[in-house]
Amino acid sequence: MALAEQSANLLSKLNLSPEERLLLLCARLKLNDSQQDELVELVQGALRWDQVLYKAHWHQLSPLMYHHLRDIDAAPGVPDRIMEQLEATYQLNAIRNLHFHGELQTVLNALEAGNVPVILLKGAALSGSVYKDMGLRPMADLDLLVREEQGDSAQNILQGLGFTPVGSTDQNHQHLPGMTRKGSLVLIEVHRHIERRDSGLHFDISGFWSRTEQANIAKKEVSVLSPEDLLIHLTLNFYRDRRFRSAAALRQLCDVAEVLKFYRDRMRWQLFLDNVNEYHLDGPVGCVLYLARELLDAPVEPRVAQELWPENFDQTQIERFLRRRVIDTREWVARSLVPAEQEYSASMMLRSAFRRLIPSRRYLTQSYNSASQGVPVVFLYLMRLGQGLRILARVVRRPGAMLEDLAVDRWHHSLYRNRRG
Amino acid sequence: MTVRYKSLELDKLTVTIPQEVLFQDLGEETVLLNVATGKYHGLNGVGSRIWELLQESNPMEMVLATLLDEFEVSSKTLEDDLSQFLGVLQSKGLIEIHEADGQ
Repeated sequence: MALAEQSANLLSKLNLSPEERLLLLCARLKLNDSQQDELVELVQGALRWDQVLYKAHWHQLSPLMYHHLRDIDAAPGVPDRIMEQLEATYQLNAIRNLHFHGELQTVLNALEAGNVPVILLKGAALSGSVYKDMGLRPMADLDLLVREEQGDSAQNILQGLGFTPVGSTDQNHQHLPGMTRKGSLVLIEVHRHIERRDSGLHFDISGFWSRTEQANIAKKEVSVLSPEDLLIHLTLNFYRDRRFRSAAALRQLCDVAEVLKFYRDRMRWQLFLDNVNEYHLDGPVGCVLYLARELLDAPVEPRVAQELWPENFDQTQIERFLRRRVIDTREWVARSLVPAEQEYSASMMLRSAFRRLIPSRRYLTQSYNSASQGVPVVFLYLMRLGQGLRILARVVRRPGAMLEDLAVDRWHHSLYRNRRG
Repeated sequence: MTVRYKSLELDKLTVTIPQEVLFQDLGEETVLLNVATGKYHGLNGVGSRIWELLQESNPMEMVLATLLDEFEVSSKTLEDDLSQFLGVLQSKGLIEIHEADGQ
């Protein structure tokens, strides 16, 4: 079946609730006339507003929802208490991001003085450029990419500013332990790479450094990824996070779609295609571009979608994936039983479950590092066991949901399991 | 009579916003952050409008003309209030004031 025909009914087959349709509409910076009309129609209809609010928070879209609802003629259809909560979230986010940008300026000045080149990633790069209004794009942390060999230097410079590590990360992790300092809301993650070293998605990012561009963010001239590399990073970020959860999925997909809209006239599609193929990322990247195009009208060049979309495209699988890992706000009950980056089998899941329920003492104390000061280890084991039993209870209550999730996981994994080359 | 800011004529001034001052428009209000001091400052509706005009690097003559056009206020009152407002912003390191001819 042709790709266009396969995708034509994707949205209708999802059978979205009015609340979910409103959410999808708000996952963009601008609405066209027909989308504006649909928004008004939805707002004036029967909406479960508490559900709207919950889902907007879950997907980190509350600021964008406020942005769209505050000006429309149908605003009287929105209960005052909902508008007040959305407005408060927008304002808090705006002030928080202002604080983040202040810290960013300080950190960038120090790294510059220490001769540590930096590339701004994700929210730090997007909130001051693509989104323009800092209040519209929530940021959980500041993500900075430094060259692999300069990770320690960057960490030392941050420590000189009073930042200290929170928790720990292993040697394969893409970033050093997050760092924060007294009186600051900011968590800074110094990345050495964009994917774990032992991940199936890992590749050589030296090209990222040679293709950087300059942007003015937090009143500093800073390096950011080229539009093509930014798109690769954001699509991988979305794809990786969908392994286990749907939280923030629509905000992440919105990032992808808005980058495509923002760079519509500048995107070098051939370069993008060449890089995606060189890194063997066609499956994951193609999947995310397809979703961004179908759900959020992202302008993906047709030949790109055609080339990147896997040959074994399966409409049923993509619908299930969309429902479970993008739209739904219900977490995958068995996520703790399936190790990241591995394809599962029944015996592997049992081994994994055992390891997770009764991990090594070292792993346990590291996992609860920040909260376990002075707590006897036996108590940590009991906590772990309690968590495991709660998961088991959920699995027993809904075995069908677990089987469905395993099938989604298998499909998700298959998109990069057979990376070419 | 021309209102003076310190020893300078108000309408002959230009205002710039230092690099370490970041701000965010919140609709009817604006929040300013001076990264150098780590302090946050809030502006109300009128203050926000003045701040918006200052961002555009207008000479003060243009800012005064725009505000006179938008608010029902006498020229003298406006110049007095604006002079006081600029003084507060400058004292907190949120703006830098120069003579329009750059001297």
